[in-house]
Amino acid sequence: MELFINGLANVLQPYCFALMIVGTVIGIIFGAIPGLSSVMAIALFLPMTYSMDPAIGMGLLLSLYIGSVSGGLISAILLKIPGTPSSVATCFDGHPMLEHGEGIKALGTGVVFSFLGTMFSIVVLIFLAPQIAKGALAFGPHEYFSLSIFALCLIATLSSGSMVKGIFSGTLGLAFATIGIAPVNAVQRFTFGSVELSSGFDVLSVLIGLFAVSEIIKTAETAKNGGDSPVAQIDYKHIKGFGFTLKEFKAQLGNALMASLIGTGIGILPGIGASTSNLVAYSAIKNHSKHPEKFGTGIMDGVVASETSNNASIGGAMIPLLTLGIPGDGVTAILLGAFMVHGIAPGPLLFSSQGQLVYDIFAALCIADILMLLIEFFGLRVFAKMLQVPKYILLPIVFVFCVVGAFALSGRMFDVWALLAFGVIGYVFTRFHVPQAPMVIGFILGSMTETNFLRALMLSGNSFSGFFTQPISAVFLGCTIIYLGWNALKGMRKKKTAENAG
Amino acid sequence: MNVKKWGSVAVALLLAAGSMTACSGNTSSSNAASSTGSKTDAASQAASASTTDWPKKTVQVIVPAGAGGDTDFNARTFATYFKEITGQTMVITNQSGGGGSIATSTVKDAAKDGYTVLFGHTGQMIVNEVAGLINYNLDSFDIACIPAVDKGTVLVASKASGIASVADLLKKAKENPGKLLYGSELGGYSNLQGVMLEDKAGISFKIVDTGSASDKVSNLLAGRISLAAITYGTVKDYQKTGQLNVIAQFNSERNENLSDIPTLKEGGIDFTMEKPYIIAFPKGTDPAIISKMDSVAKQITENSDYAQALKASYNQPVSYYNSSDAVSLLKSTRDDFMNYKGKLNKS
Repeated sequence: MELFINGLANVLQPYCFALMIVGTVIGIIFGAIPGLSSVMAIALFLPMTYSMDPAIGMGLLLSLYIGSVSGGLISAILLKIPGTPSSVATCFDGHPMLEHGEGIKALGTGVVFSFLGTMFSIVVLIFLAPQIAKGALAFGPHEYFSLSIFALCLIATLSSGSMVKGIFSGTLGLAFATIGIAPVNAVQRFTFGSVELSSGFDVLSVLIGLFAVSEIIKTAETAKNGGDSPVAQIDYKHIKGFGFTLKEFKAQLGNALMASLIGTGIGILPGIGASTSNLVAYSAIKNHSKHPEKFGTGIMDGVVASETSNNASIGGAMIPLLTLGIPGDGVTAILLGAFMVHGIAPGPLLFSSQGQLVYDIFAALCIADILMLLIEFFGLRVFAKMLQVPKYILLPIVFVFCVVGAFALSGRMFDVWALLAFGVIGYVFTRFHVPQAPMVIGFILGSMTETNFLRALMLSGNSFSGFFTQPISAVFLGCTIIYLGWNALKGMRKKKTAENAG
Repeated sequence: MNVKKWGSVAVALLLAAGSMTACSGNTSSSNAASSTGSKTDAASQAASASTTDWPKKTVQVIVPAGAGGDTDFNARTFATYFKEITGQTMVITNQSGGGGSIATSTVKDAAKDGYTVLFGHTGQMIVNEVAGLINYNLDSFDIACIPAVDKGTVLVASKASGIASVADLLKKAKENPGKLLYGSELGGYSNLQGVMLEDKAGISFKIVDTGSASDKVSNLLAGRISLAAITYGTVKDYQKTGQLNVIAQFNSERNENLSDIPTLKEGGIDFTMEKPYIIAFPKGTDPAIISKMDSVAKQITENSDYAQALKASYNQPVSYYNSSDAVSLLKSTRDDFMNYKGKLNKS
């Protein structure tokens, strides 16, 4: 406890605190702008931290991290364009809420539950990190493979409406994930001799293309066919606080707890993070809900599921980083680099050898979370005012940022062309009512599934039995089968009742 | 339109501009550079090759690895001191895709004006060729120097394997030929390292794919694999807690910062594999620029602050090879690696 108080004192020093405010604001901006991501924000500031005290440097980087994961909700709700891969599911209900005139409520919900999700995961990190970290070690290639199969099936429920279209979209995502140098045996696949294609597509080009560029094309079309699309009216006057009542808040606590657990759990597992957890939590809560049909029409539950879980992945990802020295996602990989520069190798001895630094980090996470809540609270009305800017001005600016972001990935035009190509694919999808989310998830999980499948087979001497004999792996595969069977049964019953009724 | 909103738009635009220059180099300047490139070439041919006013502007450094790793760190540290000496900034662009082949081909095809430089290591420059990932080689570049050598890699064994020394390793491997699981990235540097270790020690492992350093650590801790080569910094805590056994270093002589760890040679295996970082220009760059870079690198490696930074982070002592020494070292390394072409990626 004393260490934590010292940590707070260290972090609240004027210089560090000021840096963290700047970090949170810039993080939120990077999060909110499609094309600019958490990884970019942190990679940009990494060299600055080389010359700083480790605690201060981490304070800055963590505030960028928390701000950027949360900031994605702003564009997701206002523009129906996820600002980062972590906020894809926020669009599903956030934007419909806005269209019903509940924009401030959607934003307020997102902000508050982002805060709660982060806090939940920080508490888990502080109190349970060493115990949980051991559990993460139990996940080898077999377990990852089965887990990703399970996650892929959960995603099937994201395809509201036609299951066939959902499967089509997901499979296309899996197909695109195979382009480039193959994992494990390093064979070039579908590269047609092109060096550019050998790295495959970046998830950012795929995501921003599918969601942002396609939305821009769609809006451009409606603008041409008779003026601006109807601007959602927002009633500012009767809104207090975060735009929702205490009763509504209490009703969401169950969802928030479930989303927090899913978010933290996925965050802990190295290799997957906030970009997967928001979609998994959304579909899990939708399945679990008493009124799954309302999801996607603009209800608080959807925003809560997505925004709680993506922020809860932050504390989760910090657990293996701090206790095992194993980064959980792209951001924590850079944070590991930031430690190494100062000669600090996170690992089992970090808590004893660098105890104060660990508590400085805990304190920094808490402070950054609170800063994020305050800044976004005061910013709510400013963000909402952005909606008054006509879309024909706003969207071209967004488009420029998308292109800049794609170019900044590794400084080459290839990623920009990929972005535009996926934009066209996304536009075609929306014209034919094919959901984009399964494609993104297929793309993200595709290489993970394949890589771990191959690695698992190598470890177990090309025997498939490992997937069923290793307990954790078997549980996930069992869940997958039960889940698919249950859904098939439900589908058949529905059809029967429909036939009886008709 | 209110002031607040335009303010935020302006801030955002500024940031984007910042991110463009910082993350990805300056496109407009590199375009300008390519148009003036031919002029510089002509001028340099006319003038004697010994003098140059390079660098006159920001130099773009392509790093074939992600931000935050050891290669990135070496490049950024080098860049800091480069600015101290020349007054010009080095902007780092990370191109980690395609096993580093995107980065090498970017530099190979870049303007030969000295403003696009590669900062990589033998993994991208030689192993990629051995693995058949690229159809060009060292000769497609003008090598300026080796400004640093990574001597921090150690051979680590899991606790479950019961291997605590090189002698244990030889014994176990001979008792169970082809059984010990050796974690690597197939087709990459660590795959070659494993194959060469097998050959030089006269033993055989089962080389499997585990992925990057952190995946190797978690698989070793869980006992899924027995052996892997990893940067010492990543495993030093586990050595202290006894969860992993660090059994040898790959250097020809003990790295002064890792003096407790024996070399493979001391254990009776005549095998060294150090990882030199390489600064390379596109083939046909003005020789004066190359020798200027070489001399700047020499000055940097003589700076004690630079030495301290390398030691504090990756236990790396200062090393430096000038242009001609670097070329001959890399050529012999390449010949050596080529002997294992057939064995790479065949596990």
